[in-house]
Amino acid sequence: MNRKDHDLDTLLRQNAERQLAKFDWEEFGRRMDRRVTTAPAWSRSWNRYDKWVALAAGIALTAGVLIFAIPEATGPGRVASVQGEAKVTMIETTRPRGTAQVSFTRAERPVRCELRILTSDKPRQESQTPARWCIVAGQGLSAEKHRNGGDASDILCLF
Amino acid sequence: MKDDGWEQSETVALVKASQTGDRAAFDRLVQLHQRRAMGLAFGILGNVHDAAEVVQEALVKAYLGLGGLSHPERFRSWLLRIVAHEAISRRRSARRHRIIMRLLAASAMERRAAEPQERGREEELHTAIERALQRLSAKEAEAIALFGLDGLSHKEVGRIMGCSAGAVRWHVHRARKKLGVLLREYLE
Repeated sequence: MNRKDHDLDTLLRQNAERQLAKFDWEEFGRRMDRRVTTAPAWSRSWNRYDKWVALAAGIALTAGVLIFAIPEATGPGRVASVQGEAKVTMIETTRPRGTAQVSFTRAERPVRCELRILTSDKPRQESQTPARWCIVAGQGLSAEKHRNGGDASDILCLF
Repeated sequence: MKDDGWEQSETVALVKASQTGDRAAFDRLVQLHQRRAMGLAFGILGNVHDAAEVVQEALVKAYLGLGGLSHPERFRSWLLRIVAHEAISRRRSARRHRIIMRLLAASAMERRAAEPQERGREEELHTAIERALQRLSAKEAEAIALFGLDGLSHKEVGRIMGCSAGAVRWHVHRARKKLGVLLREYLE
């Protein structure tokens, strides 16, 4: 090591020693104690298996993406994206202000109710309720236009 | 300073005890390694306040991750790696806020100029070193800080930094060269 490097190392070391000499190690210890005491216990046990948990989470995430995203991207339109949830049903009557009386089967039970008709290109949440959509195909209504321009064969109902 | 071999064997025993949930063992482990950890964080950041926060964060992470450490004899390197990583992250985020800090510092300087106050040479040197360290790259700062710690071989520094001993020498060389220029007036 040349003299210049030696002098620089000495300068850095002396500066560190001077600054750290003023450091309150007792306060540091108290703070550490508080932080370790409040460290989440679940995290400690989780960490032991973190690689496996991360792997499992990764697999689940990938599976989720494959199940939901791929049909959305490659399926034949919106019908595929809600397959399983969608119930093809009959619109019995349409009512003013964009509602329709419908009947369908849900959880193997016949359901009859009034649904608000929403255009399919405007997904939304109603009253903070998570949106769950079904496609309602109306017999004899395919040519009928909803008042805001939505086609009857292209309407979604929220339930 | 205690014998390195003795410290190593105590560390291994304490790590094993900590892994079984012995909190007192972990506290002792902290006591044993906190000064070196502070030395490293200070060496990278050049600021005691930031270094203390970084070391606390690193020690909490070490506490939470201790269960996953399969080689207790590597605790020192493992802990220093966490400290270095935290310090570099802090340095990066500090860099992002530097423009704001410069503006604040400029207004503070204006206030000081209004009431002249003699600053000690020691404080001036400390500020100059802190600023000079910020001018280094992350690798250079990490290398010179680790190199400044007692008892670390080039090989161990390389293991902590994830590079070869040759690369460590290169980063240290570059850091010294830059610091030599930036701190020229304090070296004469």
